Amino acid sequence: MDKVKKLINDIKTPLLSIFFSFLVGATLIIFSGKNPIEAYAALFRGAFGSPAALSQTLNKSISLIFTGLAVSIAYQCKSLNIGGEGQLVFGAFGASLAGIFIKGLPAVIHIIVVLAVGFAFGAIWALIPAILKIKKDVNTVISTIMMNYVSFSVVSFMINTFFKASKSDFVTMEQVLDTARLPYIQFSTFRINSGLVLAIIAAIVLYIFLNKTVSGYEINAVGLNPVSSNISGINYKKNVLISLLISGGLAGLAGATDLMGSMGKLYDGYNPGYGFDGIPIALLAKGNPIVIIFTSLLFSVLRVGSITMQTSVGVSRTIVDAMQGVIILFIAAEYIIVLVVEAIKKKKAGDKL
Amino acid sequence: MISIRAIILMSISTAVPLLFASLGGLISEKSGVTNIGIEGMIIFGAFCGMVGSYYTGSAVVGVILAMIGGGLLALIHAFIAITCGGAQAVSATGITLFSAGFTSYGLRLMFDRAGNSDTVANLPTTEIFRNIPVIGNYLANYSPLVYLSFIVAFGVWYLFKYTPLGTRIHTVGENPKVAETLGIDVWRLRYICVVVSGVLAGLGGAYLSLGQMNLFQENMSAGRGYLALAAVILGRWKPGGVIISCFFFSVFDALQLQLQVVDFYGLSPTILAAIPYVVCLLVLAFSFGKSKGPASNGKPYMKKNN
Amino acid sequence: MYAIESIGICKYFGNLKANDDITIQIESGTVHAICGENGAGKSTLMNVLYGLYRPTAGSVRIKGKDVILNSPKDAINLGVGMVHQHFMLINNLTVAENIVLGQETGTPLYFDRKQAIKNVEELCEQYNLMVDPTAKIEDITVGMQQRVEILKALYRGVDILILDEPTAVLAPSEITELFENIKMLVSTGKTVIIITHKLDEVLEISDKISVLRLGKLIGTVDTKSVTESELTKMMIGREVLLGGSERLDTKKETEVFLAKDVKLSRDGRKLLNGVNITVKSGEIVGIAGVDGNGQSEFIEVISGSEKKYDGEVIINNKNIKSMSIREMKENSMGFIPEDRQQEGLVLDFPVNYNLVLGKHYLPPFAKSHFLNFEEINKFSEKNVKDFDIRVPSIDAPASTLSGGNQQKVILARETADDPKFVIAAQPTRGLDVGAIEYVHNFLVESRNNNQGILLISFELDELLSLCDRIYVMHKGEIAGHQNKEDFDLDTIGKMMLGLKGGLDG
Repeated sequence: MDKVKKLINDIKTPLLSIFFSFLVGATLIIFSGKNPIEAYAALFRGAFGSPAALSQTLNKSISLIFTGLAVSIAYQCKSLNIGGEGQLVFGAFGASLAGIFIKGLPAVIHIIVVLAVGFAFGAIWALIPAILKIKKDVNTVISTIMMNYVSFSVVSFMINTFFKASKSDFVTMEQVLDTARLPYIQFSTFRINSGLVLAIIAAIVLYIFLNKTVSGYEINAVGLNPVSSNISGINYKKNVLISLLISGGLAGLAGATDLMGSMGKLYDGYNPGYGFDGIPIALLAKGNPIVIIFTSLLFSVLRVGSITMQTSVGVSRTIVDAMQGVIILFIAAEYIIVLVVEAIKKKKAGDKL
Repeated sequence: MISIRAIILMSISTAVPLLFASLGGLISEKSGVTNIGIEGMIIFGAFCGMVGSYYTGSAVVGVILAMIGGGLLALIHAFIAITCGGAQAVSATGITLFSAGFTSYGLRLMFDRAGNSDTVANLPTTEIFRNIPVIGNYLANYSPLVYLSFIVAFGVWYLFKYTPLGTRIHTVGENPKVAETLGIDVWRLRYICVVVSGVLAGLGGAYLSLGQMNLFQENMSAGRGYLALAAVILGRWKPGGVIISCFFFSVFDALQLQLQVVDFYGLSPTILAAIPYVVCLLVLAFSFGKSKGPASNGKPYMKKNN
Repeated sequence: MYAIESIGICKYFGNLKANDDITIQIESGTVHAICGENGAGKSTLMNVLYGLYRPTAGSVRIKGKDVILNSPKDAINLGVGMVHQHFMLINNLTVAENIVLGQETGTPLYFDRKQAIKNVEELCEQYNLMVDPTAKIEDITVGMQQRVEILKALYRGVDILILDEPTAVLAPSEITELFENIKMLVSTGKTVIIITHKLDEVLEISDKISVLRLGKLIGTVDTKSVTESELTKMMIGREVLLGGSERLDTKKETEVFLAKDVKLSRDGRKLLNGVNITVKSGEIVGIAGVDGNGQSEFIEVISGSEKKYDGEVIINNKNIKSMSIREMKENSMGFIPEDRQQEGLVLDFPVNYNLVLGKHYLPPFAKSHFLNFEEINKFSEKNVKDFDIRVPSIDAPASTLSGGNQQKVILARETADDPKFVIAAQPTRGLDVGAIEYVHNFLVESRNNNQGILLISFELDELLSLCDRIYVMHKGEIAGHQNKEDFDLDTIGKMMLGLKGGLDG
């Protein structure tokens, strides 16, 4: 019974945050003169309405799981990494290089190598914010977001100057080799990318890492009280560095799997926004990697479904971006939700009298 | 050819949004509330400015609406950070993502397209300066918001140097408990400071849409809010230092704009646009020593009463 | 005529009754002491009288009138001022700025600092309390800072002054000075309320004494008609003898700690200026001194978190200069930090996690990088039992424990593998008498067990009763040293102020 109560307590804030964000979304839809119920119906139809839609929703969640995990491990150590987007783009760039230029490997090995390169490129992109935080106590929010702009510029420059595919109407890199592509698993009309398996494995591994290992213990300790941890001989700098590097690496994997799964080649101007989605995904899950699998699904529902909402009801899909911000705000203001719950309780108590 | 004169003239206008935003950020942080949501308040201000000007035909109304818009967003941040004692970085991130999404949505709603709005009435230049000898022609080409930003800069410097209010804000940011025992209302003062920071960020946004340009572009703040906060860190939370830092960054912003114009070694505009951020990261990395902000910056102060 | 009265004050925090129906009437022009152990409810009561807390029930009466205090501002307006134990001063502002803060001189558009300095000088003159109004708080002594606090209250025209544990941070002679100032204030018609747990001081300075225990008022008595032991009984409900368990003879042969000419500067300020200290196995060595004379910095150096020092620190025959904190702990050292909540524990971690903090990576708690929860829990259960740590369960967060039990968690952890050398920094700060007794016994037993202990404390009584030897620290130097058989309060007090005569004595 206590466990049920605890569970309800744990999911109260996230659920109400989602509810409020839909409420704010509905208000915005009404503003545009559309019917919110119709719009949301279209949204869910777009996400679940057909095997193809459902497949797409599941496939979209692959990168989101990775960015959610990325935000989660950094936040575990009390750094807010909002530069996931830049790390993702850089990771995709690295993966693209490895996928094009490393030749002659069997598929399994090549995939592993490309993933590793994607991870490394993402991690490199988080290294500078990590050093700034350790050495200068610079807030990671500021440093990571600046690295985003630099990442977009550098990658765009690289593609335009050195790696532009010759026979293409768009500015893009060459297609990665087939040995670097993550295969699709097909049964009847469902078509799921095998990256989903990788993402779920990553979540489980991260869960074990954070909860069962010495490193996870230390990262948590540093996040909860850096002073006590340091005095007890737990190295603050090392753990901030590790958590941010893993964070960047996971974001890099989000880019790599997106490239190796659905895209196949890296376009100039690629920044899908998954890095930012990772923030509410991780916060909603309260950092729990297993729960992130499910909160990622929620966002892929919103992302995929909003396309149908836009085409069939005419509500711009950018509304999802606004809703995402609202979810984060309500999580930050957990207090409001506590107030609401208490008000409901009081009302109930009043009714009983 | 790169024109030094052009860079100098341009760096004055690129400094304006940074000045508004960083002085706002400074006031908020001096009172003990970090406001990383400045970026969102700028973009929201830019949008509100466009909306006001679009519907009334008056850029002045637009500017006022931009201030109100920035202030309202800041009020949300203040409520979460002060009353709820919530995580300030998280709240600010929510604010920024919300503004980006909301303004994009609003843009599509109004003009049924992405990218940018129709052109709207913008602020006239300051023609009254035209008759000043030698420099009059330069001065007159700037928007009145440029001069407003200078006035605000002076005002903030004066506030912290010479007024009792400035000392009280300092106190609240250093040790809110002390302020409370002296009868200073910590929450009220913090609310005021955060909202003022939003109003200033809104002005910075209005400058982007109604001063520099005459339309709203998606994501037109392009990270200036974060640059402004970096200027606060570099300026060591001192008004003079913050103002100098803003001009330092604005020179590089002007430089990259100028390089785009002259087609510098064929480098693409995208890579040039990163110059201010690279400079900022380098400066943060190599600046001397750890920068120390107000002692209670970012820490919620919960009232124990009742 | 009563200056201020607490009529049936109750203050509850959740289920905790911090104040339970307390009625105290304080006559004007007197010194009234409020006594009690830590946690008796003294500070809560004072915060109610000062408008920081609103009482759950009861009322406050000032000069005969019922009043409602919504904030300290109301209290100040009614003539009630308070000097908090932790000074309410802004370190990077000047004395004058601190004193006039909230009632600044000049106009809203111009803070007239010259006028402020002049006003403060006049005030100093009037009460004969001298301070330099242009000095920054961070540059003046603790005694001076306290004076600034008193002036701050006087500047607001208060005639009822509450002093919360005013002697805790002062050297003996500074205490004498403070008492003279209090007498002077009373002679000008002010009323002084002094909160303390030090009975000798209470008897010396007060006219009346009210004793609190566990949130209740035990009684109010005339100081003249009461003895120290009667007061102790009122405070604690029994007689307590602090000073730890019986001391056994120990062989003080191995040197476990040596500090040789340790120097430390920060931002051009010399904080440690050649400190020499030794500790041998089987002895408790104390460092006495007024807060802020380099003790905290010395602790940082010898516990390994400050590496930029000059000189040598040798622990268990190893120079710690190039050792990480982890290596130091592996070298048979325990460390009980000053601030148990901020430095000793991870409050949001459960008790079992806290009990292995810093040892979590060693067998049996970890096996090839994985935590072994079975062993961690076994170890935790054993220590919870051995140390009588009161916890709902070992999974409960450490934040749910009382101060004494939190300290026991740290004691258990830091001494689990019988380290040869233990640093105990203010191990009894903020604990109630029962817990203090426990910690004292524990330290003496560890000593008897042939461990070497370095005890840093601001409580001179504690040092005198526990230590085999005492060093006195003043302005980052060792001002003197005494062995147990020569302990003399007067001499140590002089050394604490760096007065001559100390070094010869």
